[in-house]
Amino acid sequence: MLNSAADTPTGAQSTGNSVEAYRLATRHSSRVRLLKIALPVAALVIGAVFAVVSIVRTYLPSDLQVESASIEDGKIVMRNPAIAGRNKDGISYSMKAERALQDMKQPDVIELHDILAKMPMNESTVAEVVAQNGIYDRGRNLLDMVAPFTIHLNTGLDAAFQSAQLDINGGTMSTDKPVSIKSSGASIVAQSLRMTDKGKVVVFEGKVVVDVDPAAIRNKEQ
Amino acid sequence: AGPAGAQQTSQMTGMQLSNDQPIQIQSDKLEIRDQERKAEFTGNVKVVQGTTTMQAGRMVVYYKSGEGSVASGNADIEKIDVFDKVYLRSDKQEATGDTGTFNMVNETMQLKGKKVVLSEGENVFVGCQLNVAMRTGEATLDACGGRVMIQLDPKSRKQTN
Repeated sequence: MLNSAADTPTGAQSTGNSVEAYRLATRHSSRVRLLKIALPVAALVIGAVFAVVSIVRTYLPSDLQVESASIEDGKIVMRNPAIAGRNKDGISYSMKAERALQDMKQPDVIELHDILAKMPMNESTVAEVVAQNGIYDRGRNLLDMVAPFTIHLNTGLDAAFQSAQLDINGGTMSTDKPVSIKSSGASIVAQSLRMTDKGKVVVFEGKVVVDVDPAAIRNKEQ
Repeated sequence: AGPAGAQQTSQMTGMQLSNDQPIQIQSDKLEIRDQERKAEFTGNVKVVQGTTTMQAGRMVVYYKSGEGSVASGNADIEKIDVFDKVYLRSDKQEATGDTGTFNMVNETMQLKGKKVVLSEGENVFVGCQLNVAMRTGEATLDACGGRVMIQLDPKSRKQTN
């Protein structure tokens, strides 16, 4: 296009030159690596999120052992209750709490205090959940984390929730409170999180911000 | 390689992503579909790194299938599609289009639309497809049969000679 402009007889030689000069100017060399780096790194973050979320897949408590139990004002108080079981892939998990309270009138609902859960998710990744308290409904296999809790993975990933409702049979977890997930190279924060289909689908909603630190890029590239 | 229609080849200066600056992606929503190995950012999507910004209505990131498990974060990105008004800006150049695709395998970027506008300062180039080879920085604006409209700002020519 421009070349033709240069060839057309424009009379004064100088006009031809300046168009030529201009065309050369636009071709001075430079490099574009548009988003070449930015988005591949997003994989690190999103991958990390999967890791956290697949915890629910393995979290299928089947029975409850208790160290000692006493009855206090109509409630059974269990010391150091422990839930253990294996998920369908045979990966074992455990959850213990300082205390568990069970109202005699509602035997299926157990209030757990100071929960520590360890869930190996695959050969190399173990998830550790630390929570102040939660209400576990054995009948419907629901866990209502009513207070803030954290999930830490030995891969260096930390997730912090204000609260969350887990439907273990249904394989869903949701919270309408802010959640933040950080791994060594990146982080995601959002106003809410909904996870369905045992972790196959994760939706963050509300002011989603994904921050990726370049260091994650470098060691990804070596 | 597209019809032989008029092509304006120019260098996309400045639209560079250095790998020593943090990147931030913002959106109203992020949906990760593990099975389909994709992550979809929707609603006011904005990707910022240093002076380079990209905005779009929707951005879908596709991961390579096969070994790297997305769960452990070592799955590589294969392709990124952006939709609903794509706007790219760096300190020197701006480009807008309707949709865009970043092919991470052969490191090419395409911006398509009824009117794809590439502007640098006062100079504006309009075509229907902008192809950028992300490694070399070469950008080709295609008119897909029509004519590439170029509006040169006389002032800018003075700077060049």
